Amino acid sequence: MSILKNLKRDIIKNKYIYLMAIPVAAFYICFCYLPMGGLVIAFQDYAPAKGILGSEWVGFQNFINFFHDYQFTRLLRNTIFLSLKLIVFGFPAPILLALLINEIRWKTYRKTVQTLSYLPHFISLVVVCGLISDFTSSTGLVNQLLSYIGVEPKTFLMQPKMFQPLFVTTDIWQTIGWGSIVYLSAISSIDPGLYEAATIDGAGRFRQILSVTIPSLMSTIIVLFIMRIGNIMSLGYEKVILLYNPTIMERADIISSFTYRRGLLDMDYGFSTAVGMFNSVINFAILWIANRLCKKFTGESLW
Amino acid sequence: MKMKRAILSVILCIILIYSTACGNSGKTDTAGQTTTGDTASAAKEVSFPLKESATLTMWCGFNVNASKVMSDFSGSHVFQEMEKITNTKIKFIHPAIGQEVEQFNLMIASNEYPDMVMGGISFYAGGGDKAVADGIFIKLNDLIAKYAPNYSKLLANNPDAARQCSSDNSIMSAILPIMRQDNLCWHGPSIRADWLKETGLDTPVTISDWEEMLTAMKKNHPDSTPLIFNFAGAPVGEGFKNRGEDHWGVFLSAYGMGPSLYNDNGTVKLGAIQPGYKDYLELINRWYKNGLIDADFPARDEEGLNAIITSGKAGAMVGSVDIASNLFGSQKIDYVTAPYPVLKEGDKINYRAFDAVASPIANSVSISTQCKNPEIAVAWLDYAFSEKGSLLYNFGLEGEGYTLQEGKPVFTDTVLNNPDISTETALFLYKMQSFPQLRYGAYANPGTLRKPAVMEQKIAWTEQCTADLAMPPVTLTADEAKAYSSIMSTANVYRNEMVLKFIMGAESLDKFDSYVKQMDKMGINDAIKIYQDALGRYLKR
Repeated sequence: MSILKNLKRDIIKNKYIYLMAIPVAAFYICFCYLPMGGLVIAFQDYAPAKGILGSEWVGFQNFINFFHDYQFTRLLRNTIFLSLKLIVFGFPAPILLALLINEIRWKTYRKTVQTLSYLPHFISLVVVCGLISDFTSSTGLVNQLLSYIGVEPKTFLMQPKMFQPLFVTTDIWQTIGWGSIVYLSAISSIDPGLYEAATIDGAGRFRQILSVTIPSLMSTIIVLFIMRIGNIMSLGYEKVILLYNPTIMERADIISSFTYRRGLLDMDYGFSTAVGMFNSVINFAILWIANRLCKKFTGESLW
Repeated sequence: MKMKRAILSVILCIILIYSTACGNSGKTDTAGQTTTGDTASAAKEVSFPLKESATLTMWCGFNVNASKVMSDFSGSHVFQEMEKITNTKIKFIHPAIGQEVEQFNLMIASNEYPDMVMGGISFYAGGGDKAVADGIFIKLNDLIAKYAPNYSKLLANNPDAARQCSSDNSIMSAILPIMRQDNLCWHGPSIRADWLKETGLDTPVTISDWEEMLTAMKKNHPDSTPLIFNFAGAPVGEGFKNRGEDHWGVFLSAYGMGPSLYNDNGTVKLGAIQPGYKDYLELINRWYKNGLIDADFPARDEEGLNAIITSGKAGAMVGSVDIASNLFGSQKIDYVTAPYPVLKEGDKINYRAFDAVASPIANSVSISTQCKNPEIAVAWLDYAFSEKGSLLYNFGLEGEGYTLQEGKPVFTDTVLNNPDISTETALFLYKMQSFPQLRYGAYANPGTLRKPAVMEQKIAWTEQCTADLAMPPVTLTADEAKAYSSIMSTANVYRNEMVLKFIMGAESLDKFDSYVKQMDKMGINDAIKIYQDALGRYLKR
């Protein structure tokens, strides 16, 4: 009772703030929470024309079918490994770029570098994938260059082992500049007094980065890192389906591209929802663990 | 008081949102009524031109070549003429080219359907019967009997067409294009004439002739790709690129089988698990190793393939002869066609490119349960099956698209040799190629007619081979279709990966038997059995 009373008092006191929060809350309710109700079709043999109420209930059959599918292990493996590679190589990249850009003293050059580095972010993924497959084909630019140093030209997108490195490098190329913006703004808010003090103490540029810039960035890095971990399983399917072919399926196929095939191409909605749900549950578990660990070891956390 | 009202309105909002989200359940009932209801509403008369103009909406795939001169099909002269004749306007809704299946599924999921849908019975998982049962399309039997006299007459006179136009449960869920006569075989091997002459060999007949010729070509032109499998026209994901076999079985048919599922004298078989398939794979694997076929074929798209030919680096192509004549022709290169390759001279080939009488199914048109005037829609579609309508759709307008010579329609130069637009575009501007109609087939294909040689080549293939191994267009029940697609969506991924690995040498062919065993484990025989049953029902229709 007292909670309600307190809430009421709080609402009356801060009514404009609550008013401003309504659209945001409505957005999350309509587009994030209500659709969760749709998850029940994971337990159904869902047919759109029959609707959620009319479709047959099948219990955990969709999940069992997925675990028994011969693609299950490799889908899981590919999703996790690709994500891990993206985090290990992709996460530090914008931080390094931000530190480097920060050290550039000539303003025009710095602006140019910054602009050029985030331009790829604006190129449509379809175009990027077209570029990738053209550049890495056996007659493409990359292979032409490699052939000068005696490497036999081979189409990259037909070698299973090449797929994930190619995916990660092109992903870094596309997102590095955009990702560094947040770190650059965090760096710019560091108190210049700290640098002065460090200089007086005899610290060089490199020492300043290690002892001033990085510690000041730590809380930003931790929050972004946890959020990145939260997306570990939710790799988008778009880039994968634009790049894969049967010869590299074994390394390229991930859970979301599988969901796309089963859901949108085979119209097996119930099954693909079950797969998507499995994905989200694991994702949530990983996020929770990561948050706990971060809290324990660094004291910083999301919640 | 205010508080209560606010809470109430929030609750109402939530209920509203939920009821729209799961509101489909109510719809099944109304759909059921429409299906049974059309017998009752049969009192209406439809005679063209309508006194009051009508507008119908149609969802249908667009065409790249058509898009060069029009923003949608209503820019076609055929439909403009149809509007004059029938006083019916068609509003076309085109999905993005290449995303037809996805956008069809999204449209179905949205629960808002236009009046007519093209290709719906081939896109909808479970096919036409299921779409009718699910309340998406209406059962057309009574409507066709009443409002489609031309179509009904054709079916009455052609038992094969009648079989193919209704399902095992005698449900007609769409109006299909119908052929006047067997269509000519349009797909086969063609060879660059100058390169063939260089080798000093005759036009190859057997597979070993082919190997000899391709090897000689590779020797003469080391950086070339002697043989290309062009998968233009193959269903998505079923080209050589994905499956390692030509979609009309050229080369594969020499081993006495067809691609994918085929009908061996009443027994359904899957090519990819037959013992003979191993021999086929051995051959293609050897050709791949020796550089006789494209080293990058799995990653090469259609444009990339065409570029190899137009840059003069291909010696031979398996594909549509119309495409071959365009591609080679654009470089002013002469080509010759070869017969379907055989193992031993004198062997008979029993699989070739063919059209079912009622085809292509992708161009069939269904009428949705949300159509307010199904009578007009059916009568409008039926016009294309009358003699006049057939001429209009196949040849265009008299004087513009064709002239009558000795009673036979002959294309004008506007269609055949138009300097401004290509023949492929003319197919949609002056005539309407992909639409349910009484089809003239190759005899109304300007691309073929313009080149008498192409016509002869098509006739030669048609005479050389039969399509006896071909699977007739059977239909599956909803449950069968579901069981089939749940087996095949997994098995096909495995099959395609393994076949491509065998070809590229990533897996040794010694593993062929264990691959067949694995396919067995995945339930491939159950899937084949489903088609076997369906074939039995088809033959009984």
